[in-house]
Amino acid sequence: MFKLSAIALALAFAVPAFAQQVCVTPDAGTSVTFGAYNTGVSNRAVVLNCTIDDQIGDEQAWGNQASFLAHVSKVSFDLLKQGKISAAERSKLMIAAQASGVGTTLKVKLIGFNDFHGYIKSREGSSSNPGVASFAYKINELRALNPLNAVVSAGDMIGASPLTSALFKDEPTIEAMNRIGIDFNAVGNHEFDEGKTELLRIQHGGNHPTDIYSGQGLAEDLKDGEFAGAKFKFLAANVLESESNQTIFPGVGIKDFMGNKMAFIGMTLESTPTIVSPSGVAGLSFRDEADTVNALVPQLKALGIESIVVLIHEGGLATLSAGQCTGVSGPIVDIVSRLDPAVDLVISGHTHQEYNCLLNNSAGKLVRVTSAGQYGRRITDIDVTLNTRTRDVQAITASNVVVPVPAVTNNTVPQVAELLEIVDHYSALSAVPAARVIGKITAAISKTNNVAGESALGDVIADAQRDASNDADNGLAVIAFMNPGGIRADLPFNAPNGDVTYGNAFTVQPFGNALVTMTLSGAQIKTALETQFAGCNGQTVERILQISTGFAYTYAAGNACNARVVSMSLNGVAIDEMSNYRVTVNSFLADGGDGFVVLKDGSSRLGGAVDTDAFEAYLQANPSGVAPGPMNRITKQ
Amino acid sequence: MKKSALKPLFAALLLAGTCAAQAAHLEVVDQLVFGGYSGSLNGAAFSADALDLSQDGDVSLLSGLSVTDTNYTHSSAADGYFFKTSQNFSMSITQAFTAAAGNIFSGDTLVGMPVITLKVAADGEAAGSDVFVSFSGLASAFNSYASGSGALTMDMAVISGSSTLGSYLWDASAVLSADQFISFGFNAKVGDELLLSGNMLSSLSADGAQALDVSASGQLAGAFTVTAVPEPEQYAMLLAGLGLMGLSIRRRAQV
Repeated sequence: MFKLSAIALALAFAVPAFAQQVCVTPDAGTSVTFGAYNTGVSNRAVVLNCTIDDQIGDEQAWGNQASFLAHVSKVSFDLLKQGKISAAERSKLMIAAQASGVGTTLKVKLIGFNDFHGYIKSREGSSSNPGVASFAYKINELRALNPLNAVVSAGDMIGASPLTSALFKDEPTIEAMNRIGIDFNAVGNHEFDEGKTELLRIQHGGNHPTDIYSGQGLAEDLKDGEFAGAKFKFLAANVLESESNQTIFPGVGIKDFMGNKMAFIGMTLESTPTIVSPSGVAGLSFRDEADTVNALVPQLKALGIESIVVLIHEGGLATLSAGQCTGVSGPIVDIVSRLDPAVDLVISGHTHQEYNCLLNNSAGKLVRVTSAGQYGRRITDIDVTLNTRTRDVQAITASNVVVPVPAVTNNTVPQVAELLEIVDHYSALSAVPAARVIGKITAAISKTNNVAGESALGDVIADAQRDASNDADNGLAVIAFMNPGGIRADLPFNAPNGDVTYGNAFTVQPFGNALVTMTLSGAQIKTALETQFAGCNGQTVERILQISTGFAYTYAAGNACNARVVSMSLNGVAIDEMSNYRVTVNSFLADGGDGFVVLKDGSSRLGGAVDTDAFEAYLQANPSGVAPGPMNRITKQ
Repeated sequence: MKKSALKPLFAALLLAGTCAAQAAHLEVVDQLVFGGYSGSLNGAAFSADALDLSQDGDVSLLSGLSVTDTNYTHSSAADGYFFKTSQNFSMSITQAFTAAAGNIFSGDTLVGMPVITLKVAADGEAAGSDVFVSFSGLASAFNSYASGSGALTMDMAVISGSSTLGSYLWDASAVLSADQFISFGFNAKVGDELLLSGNMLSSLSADGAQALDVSASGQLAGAFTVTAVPEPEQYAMLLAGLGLMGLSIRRRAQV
């Protein structure tokens, strides 16, 4: 009876067919329950060994209450027709279906991360980095918990990345994210490291016009033999083409969860132009974050969208007690305090910090603000309960989960094979360029500090950074400061002639931080130096900055906070606290990284070269070989 | 062109002519829905109004009441829907009364969806394009009036202006258990506004003369589809294809 079966199919609605098959574990409850609600109808086997409760999909997700009611209506009518339940029982089931509230809410899982920075290869740059294959496994684990989910990134997915991604113009990271299947990435400042044109190429695909390492992906990741571009959308609500006044990417991404739409507003920090190379953001204007969000809210509401998530590449520093957020400082506090109360959640980034806090919005109500640290080491697991009637967010819970780092040998950390395939491919391809000789050194240069905290390699790197930014067109820097944590390895002497490979240089400075030259007063320089010591100006551990040639200072370790630096000089002349000096640091320090908050106050900022490029240029400017630094610039009393 | 290459071409032409894909859909513009369960038991009135749960282009109506006493139980549940994503239209009622002798009862349950204003909305077609709207579904009735009296009726119609484009009516009062197929269709244009109505009514009553266990249940459920009406040139292509096919068969027969 073809027609009958066709009609039966048409009547099956958009709910799973409960085929007549044996139930492996029939519901053993004595009463039929919808969620936790007792219908008062006795539960019993009605189709083979399957009970009434087994026939009702109250455990599954329903986009609205009516869908669940229609489902119960159909199933209960069929049972009634088959003589399995009475008319009175059908009424009870229908009444309970409404009273149970099933379908009035919908659980959605958001999986957030930020500042991934191209760390696709496990342990590249740091033994704490899990790599994208372990990262993807954890994402898949979370996704398996709820098929209604979105994977979203709050910027700096690419840029300042290690060799395996950076060499190939970060295409490996995009291809990996394509395979994971992420939904949206808000642009961060580092997305602009290589300028707007390159970022548009990363989104839309095509090979880099000149770089021979572009378009080297596996066949299935390419399109027409070239880099395919990101399959997910970059979002940039506050980045506008100055000429057209149009955003360079959509400002909002919308995901529909069974008829319940959720909007993701993506943006970078307004001050992005101060921490990237000016040429990369020429012709673009970066707008105030909160104003941008607030202007979009009425537009979203007009579309019937009530559930609004902000993906923002700006963050804060949180203080934690037993893993719980006890306070937040930093730009995110002010931004959230000005946000329209329609914003339900803020997934932030930029500070590389891990937090899960509640901050006041413009209505004085608490809104959840998360950040998952850096380099794929954490993922924020967020459960959102949507009210399917109002379409608004009813509740949010969140936690940061650790992404385990695979072991070098006898690894037991699970990884996704499809992602390892990409990593292995690019690792093999980068073996040759990693061996490219970029200059010479006269002896091994160690990162080991002397008693004052100065290292030979620190001296050399600071010199290279000052050298890259001391001309009229690139900053007129007179001093460079390098954070010791940014020097990851010794520079080995490759016998017989001291050749330094690109891989060697990358291993030393894997962060790919761009240089930032800024104006600091002598007083601010002193504050920066005082901030090196644990317990002073919020510093947590001793971090002695490496300094460039010509600058020297003496400190008395036993003195009190802000009284340790007893003398400072530049080329033999004492530093005047009232005078201004042009100082180069990397973008990490420029953002106040490692606790050097005073560096955020530096003015007249100018972006410069990536640190490894500066290092390579310095080696090439000294063809006979760079010698280990003298370690005589910092004196400890 | 070789004959072997022509065959798939004919097949494609035939398919293009015969398979009309979903071309447009119906959107709810507005609705007036009501209903519920009301009556009296031993002189005391009772009622439970239907909840209108309609939202975002879905129509949804639900009522229910279940009353249990040592002497009697009576219950009713009724619902009606139109879902935009599935284009499903359905309604159902279940009403029951069980009592010892001496209980005087009358109860009516109504699913009233007299006005659901639908618009033929485009899935890419130009406004004014010809489409064919069809509804196919199943009506079921399942009653037990062992004694006492009851009634069950259901109807639906699609109206445009003063014209009834499609309708269905079933007085299932005398039915113990039966199904009826529903199928109707009509021409319309993208952008047209249509009025859909659907009603279902059940009644049970008892004069108290004897103990009773009676019920009335009905369901009407189906789905709308809107398909493109082929343009004249598509018919021409189909005819041309058939002609070529005939020619090819004739030539092959002569070989």
